[in-house]
Amino acid sequence: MEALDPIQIASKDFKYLLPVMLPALFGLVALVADLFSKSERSRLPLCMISLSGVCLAGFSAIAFWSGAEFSEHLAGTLSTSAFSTAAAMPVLLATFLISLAAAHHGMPTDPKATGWLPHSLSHGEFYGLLLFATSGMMGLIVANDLVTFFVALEVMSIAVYALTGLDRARSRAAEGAMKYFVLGAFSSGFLLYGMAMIYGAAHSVHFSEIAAANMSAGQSSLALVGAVLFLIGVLFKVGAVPFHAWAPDAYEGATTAVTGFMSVGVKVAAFAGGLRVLVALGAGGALNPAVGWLLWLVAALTVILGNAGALTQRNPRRLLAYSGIAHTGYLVIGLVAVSRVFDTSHSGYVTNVGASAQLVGVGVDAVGGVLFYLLGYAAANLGAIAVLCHLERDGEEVDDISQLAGLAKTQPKSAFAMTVAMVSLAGIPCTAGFIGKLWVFRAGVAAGDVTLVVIALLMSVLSLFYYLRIVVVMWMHEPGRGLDGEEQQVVALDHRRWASGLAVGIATALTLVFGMYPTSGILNLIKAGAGSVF
Amino acid sequence: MSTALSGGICALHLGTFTAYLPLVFMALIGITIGGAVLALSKFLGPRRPDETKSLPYECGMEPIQQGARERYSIHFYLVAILFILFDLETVFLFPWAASFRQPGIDATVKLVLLVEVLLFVGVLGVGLYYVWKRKGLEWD
Amino acid sequence: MPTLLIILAGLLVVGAGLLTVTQRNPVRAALCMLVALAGVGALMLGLRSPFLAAMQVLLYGGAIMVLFTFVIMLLTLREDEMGPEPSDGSKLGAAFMSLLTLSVLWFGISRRGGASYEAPRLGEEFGSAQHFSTFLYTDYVVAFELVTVLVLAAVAGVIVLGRSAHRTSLEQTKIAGPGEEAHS
Repeated sequence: MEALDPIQIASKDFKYLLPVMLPALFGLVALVADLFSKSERSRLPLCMISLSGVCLAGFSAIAFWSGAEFSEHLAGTLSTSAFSTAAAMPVLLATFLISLAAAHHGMPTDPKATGWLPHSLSHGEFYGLLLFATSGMMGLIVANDLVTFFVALEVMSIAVYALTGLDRARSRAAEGAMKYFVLGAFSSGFLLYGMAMIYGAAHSVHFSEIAAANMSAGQSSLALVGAVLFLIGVLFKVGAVPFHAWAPDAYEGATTAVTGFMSVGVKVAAFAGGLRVLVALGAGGALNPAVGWLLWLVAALTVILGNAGALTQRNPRRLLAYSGIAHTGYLVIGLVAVSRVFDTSHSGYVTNVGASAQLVGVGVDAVGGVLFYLLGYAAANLGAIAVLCHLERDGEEVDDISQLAGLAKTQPKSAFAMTVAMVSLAGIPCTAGFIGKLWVFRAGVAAGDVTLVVIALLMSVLSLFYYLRIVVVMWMHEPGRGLDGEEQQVVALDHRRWASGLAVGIATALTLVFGMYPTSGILNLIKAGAGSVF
Repeated sequence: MSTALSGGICALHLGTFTAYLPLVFMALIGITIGGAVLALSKFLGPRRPDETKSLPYECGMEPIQQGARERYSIHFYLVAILFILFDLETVFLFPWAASFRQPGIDATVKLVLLVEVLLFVGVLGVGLYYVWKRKGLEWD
Repeated sequence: MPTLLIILAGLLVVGAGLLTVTQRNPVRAALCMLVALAGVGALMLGLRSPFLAAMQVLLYGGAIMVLFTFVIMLLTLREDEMGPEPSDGSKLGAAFMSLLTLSVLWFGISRRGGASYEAPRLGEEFGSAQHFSTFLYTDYVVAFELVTVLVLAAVAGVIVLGRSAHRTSLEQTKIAGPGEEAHS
């Protein structure tokens, strides 16, 4: 790397940093603005700050990142292409919808009560940490060297650990945060060890130089061990089996809004960042078929154990945690397909004259599938989370799906939104979840992993049980009657909760639109993104 | 160890390593003197412990607690962790200071370096203000 | 001589690390860890990174160790609270996992099909504070600015988690009725 002219960076390249830094800036504003708010009545002003930060970040991402050509900036530490925008969209969607959905958290049901629930007092920290984590996620998506990648990952992780433990009224929050933090720190160790070995084999921390290095010849074992350790770190962040032990406890302990943010934002950012490193390692010759088979095993175990674990869950957050693990499994199929591309028998990859790696065919299909799947998963999962946030009363959240009994009679709109979310998560046609699954599975079959796809298909059928059970409870059961016929308190309609209602509406609309009319703009962006990973 | 790997480090090192010899000697002298004092007082000093002498030393007052192995307030920990966070900030400032006054640096480069570090210190200053207002530094 | 330093420091780190995990007394374990951290500092010195070595001793040997001792003082486990000595089975399991990790790492650095590693070419001033800063403030400015966000997130996390930790009455506080403010 030759030395840079700082003036040139300042004038030209810093705009590429805007989508990363704007959320952080607004997070700081939210943190400080909360210090000056006299009353603890409302989170809405902070919600507005958060929304404007997300929107500005989104606009600048579309404006500066969307170029169809892959390009590097700031001494090669950042790289942007349509891939960055396509991956940034679900992250920003998560922050946007969670900001809205959490805007009424802790609002007293009694309209005359002036105070808010004590444990929802940390408004400023909630929005601040949310935006700091978003900043880390955006950084992870565009990071183009291992150092920036790691710092961005830690920004995201530290903020999310703190968010998990935010609700001090529940002792489960502390337990979940503790488990998440300890295991997360452990996995960061793996990740760093892997990075050190990758650096040793490739002699560079820059992804493009790792991709251009010829690691298959001499340093194959060092690069291989580095790649595996690195992947373990990434697989931990997305909650893949056997690195998923933290997920159910962390998801259940956290507030519903944080659960949604964790399950979508962290997953999207870790998959997008991990995918780029995987492609770089593959192009550099660090992967051998064993890595593909390890990922194969992880994918199979994750879909099986995720879906099996979800079957018996009655706490909706815990259910979504296991369902999130299952979806991680479907997404890992995309990673398997990408890693297969670099086997000699496949042809999903060409090396250009300019020594930059380029995916074609199966590779593009797999990346596109993962990107679309992430977007569809984001919309559907956030829809379900937004409904749960909408139903929170006096800080009491829905802790058992029995509480949703007869929701179709008491709150038909919420019940409809929840149904759409469940149907999309189950992958039934006409929803975004179906297209995403189809796309990823097609890439899996094209890469030659038919058995894995069959396992995933069988498990998707199994998942219908627990997703549709919620639908049945909402539509077929009488209000006030739980699953076992026990008495349940009916959650009354509260018209003042417009912000969470809006979040429910947006998520549902997006799930349906992505599923029925995957508008050409989104599809083109994702296709362009899949073709411009490097 | 492969010859290439260790050889590379060897070649890099021989020149600079002797610079740390004084450090090694200082450590050795420190260990020797400290160890000698401890050993001398153990072997030569009279030891007649009694009830009062074995109490924890507390500036002449009655000791508040029996021994050091008692639970401390979490506040110590909070202050310590906040200290570390801002300690980290100074670690980042140190190399900055080392390079800022280097001869031969362009004025425009200096300006950019200054802006970068002002941003860093400014943002963390706001962080300190936040901690202050949130009463993180108070001992209630 | 430097290779000797690296080997000695490595042995020191491994030995102190072993003692850290085998000591029953938490204070002794923390002291062993201090030795291990200082040994890592010596390793960095051996790898020609004096600045990093100084920071390792200052931050890890100094500040992080203070945190560890605070945690130990916070918990002050008595002998009967420490739980039973781990069974021989779990000790064997831990030893097996360590050996497995060691063999994987050994596999990583040993077999290299005839070719040998090239040491990265480093300039004379490598590892000094100036050299470090030319990297940090020009090439890796993104990571540097992200560190600001990292520290901010950590500060907000410490305040929000630590603050409520000593407000034990949170759970009992209910919604304030009309006219009351929910201050706590």
